[in-house]
Amino acid sequence: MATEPADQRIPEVYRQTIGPLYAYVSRRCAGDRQLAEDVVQETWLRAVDVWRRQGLPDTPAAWLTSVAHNLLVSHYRRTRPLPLGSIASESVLAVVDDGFNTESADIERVIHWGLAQLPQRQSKLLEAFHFDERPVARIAAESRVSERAVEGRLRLARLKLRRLIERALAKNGGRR
Amino acid sequence: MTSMHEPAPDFERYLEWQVTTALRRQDRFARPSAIGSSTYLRALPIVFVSVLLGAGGVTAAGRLQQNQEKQLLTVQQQGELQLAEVQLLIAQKNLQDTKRRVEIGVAPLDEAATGERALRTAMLRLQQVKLSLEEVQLSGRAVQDDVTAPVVNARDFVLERLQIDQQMAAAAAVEAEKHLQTMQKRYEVGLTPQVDLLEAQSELVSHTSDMKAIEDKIALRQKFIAGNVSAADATKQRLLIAAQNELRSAQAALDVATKRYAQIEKQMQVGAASDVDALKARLDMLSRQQDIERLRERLAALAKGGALPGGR
Repeated sequence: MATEPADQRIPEVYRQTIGPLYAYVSRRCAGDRQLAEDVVQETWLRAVDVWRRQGLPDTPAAWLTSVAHNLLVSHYRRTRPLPLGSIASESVLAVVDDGFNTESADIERVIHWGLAQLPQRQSKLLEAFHFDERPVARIAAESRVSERAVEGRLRLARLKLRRLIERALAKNGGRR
Repeated sequence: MTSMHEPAPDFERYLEWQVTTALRRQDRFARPSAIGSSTYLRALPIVFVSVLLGAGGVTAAGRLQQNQEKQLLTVQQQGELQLAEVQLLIAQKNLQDTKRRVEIGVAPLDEAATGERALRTAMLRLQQVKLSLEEVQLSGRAVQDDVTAPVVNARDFVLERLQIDQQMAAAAAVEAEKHLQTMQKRYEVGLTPQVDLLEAQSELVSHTSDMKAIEDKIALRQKFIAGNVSAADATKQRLLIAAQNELRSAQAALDVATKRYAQIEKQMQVGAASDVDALKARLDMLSRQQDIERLRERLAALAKGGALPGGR
């Protein structure tokens, strides 16, 4: 944490980061604006509380994103992926296979639920690739591994997510 | 109108007010009282009055915020630029070191080729980051890599980055080809098992397939910019290209897994491999078969177009 007084800089950091933070959260909220606003609000209130006591972190944007991510994971872990109403299990699984592209908020919620159950390493990788649209080359460079390794990890994470959702849907009696 | 992933102006102003008042309260009192969601509604009239009173100021503040966002994105890209420059430096040093080791015979010749490719990739990666930085400075927005992204001041950054991807994929394919030739020679003189040769073949197929996918994506981008394909169709075709690429790589991987399984079965008959080895190899083969089935189903759905979702 930096030692400079946080009070003067917090409003400035707020104005600089609110847009990217909101976009990050919103992309993980399946179109639920209220949820996105609650998460962003909670993140910022925590930030004010912690930063005022401990000073600004070196990278406030990364701090905010991490807290928001953890809040989202807690939210999705508490919720159940069902009921899905008229959507067939196959449609959900097809979206997982198709790179998470869907217009259905219900399916998107199931995917976010599944991501919250995965180990953080795997969920963050899938999110970086599918939601933040970061190319494999960039992820590989940032994590200092080969592109092949990133592709392999993505494949494994997708497979794990698929199995997890498949089991949950079967358990909850998803329509086949 | 506010887009889906942008905060509503009222919410943004309200939260800003909440953050500044929380700071002020913490200054005045030892412990701030909790700020619940209900205060949102109570605070709204204040926010609206402020908005009405300072409409001109808000427009100016909007512009100011755009500039601040642009500055933030620029700083992020400059960070990436520094990282890419360091990686280039490391690749250069590694190559020098490898060349020295090759010269004195403690490293094989193909290690130098790998180092050269790593250097070339690092240089191309640096070019990509520079392009991204330029895009942020020109557009004031985050970098967009989708085939349906708009051009920025007549510059097609998506296409330019794809062309760099193409060069990276080409370098990877050349290296895979050289590696295959080496494995072929080693296999012919009995220095390496057939499976290693097959893996090298599969690797080459995979890189060639990546190249083909990038070429297709470039063609798609050009069609989209020329107005010959709609955004929805471009998104569908992008998914189709990605699925076809995955299928080609999966088929090559299945080929290796099948041959590996056959080889282990033979080894098992002479006691050179265990039941567990054979089961593992079989499992690998079956899971790859399943991957292919799933990919074929996906391709069929994409080709029909009916089951395709609209894209993000």
